[in-house]
Amino acid sequence: MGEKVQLQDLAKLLSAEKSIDKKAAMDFTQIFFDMILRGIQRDKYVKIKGLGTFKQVEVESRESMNIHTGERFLIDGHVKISFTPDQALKDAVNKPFAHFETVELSDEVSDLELKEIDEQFSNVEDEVEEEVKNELPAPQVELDPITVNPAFEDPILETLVPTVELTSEEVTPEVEKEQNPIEEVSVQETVLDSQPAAEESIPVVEEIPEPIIQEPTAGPEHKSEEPVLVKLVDPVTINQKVEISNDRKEEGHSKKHSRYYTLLVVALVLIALGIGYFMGALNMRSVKPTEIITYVHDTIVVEKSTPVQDTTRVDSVPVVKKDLTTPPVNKPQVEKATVMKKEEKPLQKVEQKPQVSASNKDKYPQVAGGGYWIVGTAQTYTIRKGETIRLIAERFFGSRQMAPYIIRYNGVSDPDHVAEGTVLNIPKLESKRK
Amino acid sequence: MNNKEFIAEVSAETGYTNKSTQDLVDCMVKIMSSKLEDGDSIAVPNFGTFEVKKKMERIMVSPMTQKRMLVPPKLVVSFKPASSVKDKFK
Repeated sequence: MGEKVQLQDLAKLLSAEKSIDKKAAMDFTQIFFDMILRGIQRDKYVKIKGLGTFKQVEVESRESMNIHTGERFLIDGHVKISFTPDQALKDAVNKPFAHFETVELSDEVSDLELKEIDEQFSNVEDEVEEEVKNELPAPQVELDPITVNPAFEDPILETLVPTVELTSEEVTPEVEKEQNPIEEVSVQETVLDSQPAAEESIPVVEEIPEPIIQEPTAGPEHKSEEPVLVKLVDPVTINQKVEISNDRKEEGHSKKHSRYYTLLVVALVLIALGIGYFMGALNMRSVKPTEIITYVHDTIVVEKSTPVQDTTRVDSVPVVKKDLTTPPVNKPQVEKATVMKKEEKPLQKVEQKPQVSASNKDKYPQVAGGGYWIVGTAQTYTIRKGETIRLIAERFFGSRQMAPYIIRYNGVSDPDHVAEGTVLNIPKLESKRK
Repeated sequence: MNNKEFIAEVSAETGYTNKSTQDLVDCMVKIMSSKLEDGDSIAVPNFGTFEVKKKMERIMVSPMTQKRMLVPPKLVVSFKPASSVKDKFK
């Protein structure tokens, strides 16, 4: 493998094969190749059965540009020798990859897939923030049914907008509020289902272009966070005002988010499909979701702890402009709240899907990262001589890549050596994406 | 020059009969392809080098249907003429 065979080696092999004199063999090989050259020169092509066709191709002169100086120059026309291997030789050489076939990609899936990969790597930080955010407001949604009367909201929104005067100091109270809840949440997060966690990477970019410090939407309903909130805001003495703003904000975003809601559900479902396909395609070798999460946690801690110091330092400033601060605070909150609302809802949707179907899957071992659930036994199969699990997978599922499901389902410890006569249970599979 | 003509030329040059030349040429081709199958490269002075190269998988758009296709990786034989040969053909 990868060795360099010389002319002498060829001659040696030829002499051994045909039991002729070594010198004669050497002469013959020499003449063999000389003849090919002569043939190309004379007839422009030489065709040798089993090897291929050598052709003389004339290349016309063309203009090109020197990449360093930008100078134009002419590449003279010249003669090139092309070699097209015979089909038999082509196939023989490609044998190791012969089982691959060209697959048609559906546009939608591959686009998302690519995007997803990009974003997973480039936006790890955003992903972290996103996750935190999604975790936080989630309980709130349940507590807070959207029954707000739309006529009531509009005026509020309008009154808030004109008063906007954003400066960095004014934002700080919120920032501060955020810190504590977030750290709490990062601990809770371990509960978070792995699949949705990965999916969130996409919404990050789509929905939160500006890295506004996320506000945890510590609405009055949110019991766990409220004490923290109040305590922190106290020194700034805008305690009550902030609470009022929270009320308004809630009303505002519940209206706004309903508009985005449908859009986001669609987007997230598409993303879920993309990921399902991607995982399946990677043949379960993809990164284990749990790993992603642990990594994410590390970064949360680092990321969130630093801003805390910043904001506590700054937070004396707003005290001076007590009155000014409240109105501006409202506006960003309304915006952020809507952003967050948008994400919470679809998020939960996605999360629930696997859970619902997982109920009947708990009974069976599952292949981590696979595109399918094992939901039962379709049939049993006795291995015959010379068969491998991969071959069986190809027969039952149409692809050798499905072998891990059989291996996992049967708990095969050494998939490369399965004894003849072993009875395998062929799992019944159900696609993870509906 | 097709296969038949080639064998006739070689036999004329070497003095073997057509039949035994045919035999030798077939054997030669067999040896070469078995070497290439193993992934070896064949270097022939004053002629060129045969090499097996791996082409990575790629996504292509079918010009007929405008559909995107995933083309699998493959191994192909490539031939690179020696520089002396190139000069000869100039």
